[in-house]
Amino acid sequence: MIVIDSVSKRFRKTVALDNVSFEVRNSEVVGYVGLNGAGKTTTIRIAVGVLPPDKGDVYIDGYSVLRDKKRASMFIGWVPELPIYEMDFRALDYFVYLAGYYGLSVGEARELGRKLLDEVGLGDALNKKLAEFSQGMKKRFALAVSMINNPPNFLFDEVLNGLDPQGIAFFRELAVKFRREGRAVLFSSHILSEVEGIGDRVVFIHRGKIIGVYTMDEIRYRASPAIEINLSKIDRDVFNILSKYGEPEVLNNNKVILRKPRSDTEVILSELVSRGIGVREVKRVEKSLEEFFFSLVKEAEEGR
Amino acid sequence: MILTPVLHDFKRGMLRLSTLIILALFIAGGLGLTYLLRYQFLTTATPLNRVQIVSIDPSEEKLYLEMYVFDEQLNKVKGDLRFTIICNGETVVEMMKSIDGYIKIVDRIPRDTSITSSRCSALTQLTASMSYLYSYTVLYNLSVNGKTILCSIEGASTISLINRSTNSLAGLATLKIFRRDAELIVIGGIYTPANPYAEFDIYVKNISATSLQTLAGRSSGSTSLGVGSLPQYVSISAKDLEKLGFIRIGRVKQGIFNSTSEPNIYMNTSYLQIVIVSSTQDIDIYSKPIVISVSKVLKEVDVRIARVLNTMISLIGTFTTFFPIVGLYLAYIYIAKPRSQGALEFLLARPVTRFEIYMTRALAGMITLVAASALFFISTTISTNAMLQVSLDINSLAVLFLGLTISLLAFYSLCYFLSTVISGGKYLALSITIYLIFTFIWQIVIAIISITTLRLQQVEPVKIVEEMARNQYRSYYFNPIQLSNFYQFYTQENM
Repeated sequence: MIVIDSVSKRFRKTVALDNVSFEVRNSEVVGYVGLNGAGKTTTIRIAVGVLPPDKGDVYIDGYSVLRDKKRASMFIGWVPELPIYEMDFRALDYFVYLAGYYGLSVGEARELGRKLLDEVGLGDALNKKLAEFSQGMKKRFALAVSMINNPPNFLFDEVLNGLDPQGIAFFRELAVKFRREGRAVLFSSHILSEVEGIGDRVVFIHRGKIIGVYTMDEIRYRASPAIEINLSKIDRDVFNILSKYGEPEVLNNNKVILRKPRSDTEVILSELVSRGIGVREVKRVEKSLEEFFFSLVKEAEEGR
Repeated sequence: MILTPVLHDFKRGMLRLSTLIILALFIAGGLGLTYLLRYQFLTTATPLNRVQIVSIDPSEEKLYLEMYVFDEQLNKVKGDLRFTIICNGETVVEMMKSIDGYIKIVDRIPRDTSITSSRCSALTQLTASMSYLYSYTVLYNLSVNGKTILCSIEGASTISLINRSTNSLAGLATLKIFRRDAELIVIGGIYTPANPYAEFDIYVKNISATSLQTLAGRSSGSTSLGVGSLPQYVSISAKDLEKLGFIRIGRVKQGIFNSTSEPNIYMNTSYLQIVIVSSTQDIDIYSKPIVISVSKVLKEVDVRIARVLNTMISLIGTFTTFFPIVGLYLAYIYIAKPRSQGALEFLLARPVTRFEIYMTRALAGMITLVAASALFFISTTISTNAMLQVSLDINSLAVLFLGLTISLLAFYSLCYFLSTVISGGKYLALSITIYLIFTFIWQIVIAIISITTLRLQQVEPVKIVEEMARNQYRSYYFNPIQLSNFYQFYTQENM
């Protein structure tokens, strides 16, 4: 379980994170979505212990990254967006080198290295220099290294960026597999649809602030086709009428949105008019996942 | 736990092509210099150690020579001995004999006009000198197996206790004595059978007229040492003397004896202790150098060791001057470069702290430098052993190695510190500048500062050089690359 607890970080005058809090529970894949520069990578670097926060803390299975970094690092794996290694190493050698920090002997590390590198699809590149690796191979290598200690928590930072379809499928399937195995996975992306189908919840971040946490069902629901109606009045009767045709949601005193409409717009409007309810405006609303995300961003911008 | 990463970092530092090439160059250079030194040893005639007793009987006009000849390793020399006596430029005796480490010659000195001439007739003058405090010199060439040395029997006006009844003159050369400020040491004495102990005096003369401490504490041109002033622990028993480390250097018949030696420049302060033990007719002479403070007396074999030591010092000096570049580079690849690229972040995501990463890599670099130094040092030591048959004592080796590694580690530590605060190209630029300053510019700056301040203090010009050297030496405390100079001080003090 990963708990991000009131984390703030400032780079000179720029506020990168402002009191960010959320958690990723076991057996859960949480999408972490925001525009570029929103603070996703900063959050993840703090969570993994490579960047100290100005305020707040991160707990990995209860171990503070600030106070008990070594133990916390034993329980977390990290695949960065752009893995940077010491490029003069060969893959297996660097794996063995890093495994040394987990207390593995050279023999154990070599054996494990061969197995894990093979599992992530780098079985043929054991003795290849890291400098010769493609972006996808580097990410797979990072994954193999993250699995040295078989941790119960994983941080995937923009992991699908720059991958071929095979690579994308690999990491998506992996996230699902990890959830099945009871692990906690934070899966960051700047594209909401990338986490669709694998994420249980999505945490939205914008300009260093959390602007919403939704389950995937909620998001789908909010992004589904709807009819936005401006009425002369909204009362229980109106609500009951609209409930027959879908799932109404009152936006303000005069506006209601009818999600998942089960009839044509004309049928709904004629019943409202026949019951003496004035209909001022009718608008068909259809949002994609990305539109939903942008609407959140817009709301956040307006709320500033 | 972090042993594996340390070993891994050590391996990639040590087996790096640049490290290996530089190390190989130094090892090859060391071998080459050792070979040159061997060539020098083989082609330069070194004086043979000799213990000789030369007696000239003026009444019989006969020369008695009894001699042991040793090589540098103090083994007896076998071969043909060529013996020439030159008196004031004239060849008096010339002969050749086969020896087996020992030779005894009794020969008649041919009287001819040149010898009896007033200018250079050493033998007749010698007879006179017994009465009239006359100084004399008999030079002779000694040549064994092609190696020739010029020897001398020298009498000086300082040999004042002349007994007219003495009918023979004995000359004695001890093993060579080396001393920084003496160019010639003459030891002489007289033996009178009637009262062997009371009458026995040993003279120590320092021809170069610089001070030479003696047991009697006098340092004039000639100093008398009474047997009675010998230290309490010295007994007159030959066996005890040998136990005390005295070397038996010969036996002389009654009469005057002296010893001449040509010291080399290695010592600060020393004096000789000569003990004479008398049997009924013959005298055993023992000599032992007494060490005061840090000095000691070198034998011929020590000269060779000293040359090897000097060669090793200059080799190590070159190594400590240029090998720090490897340390500079190691700090770059371990910290400065990955830091600038961001490659340390992925490492930091492991169960390790930032401090541990820095320490791990610092340690790996240190081990690399120590291992490289050890390889260079071992190869040099083995090559001097194999090619020159000279083994340095363990203390000197330890001090040399420590000096070498401390110097390298000091500079590496400085570079490593820099690599943790500045990264990439900036680190390279700064560390190379610092290296150049410490290696090449430092001494110039210190010299300029010294001259300026000493002139302002109106120090005498003759003392300026000495003061400058002192200031240079002090400045080494603040220069990691020059730290190795301290081992030179230690080793030279102990030579």
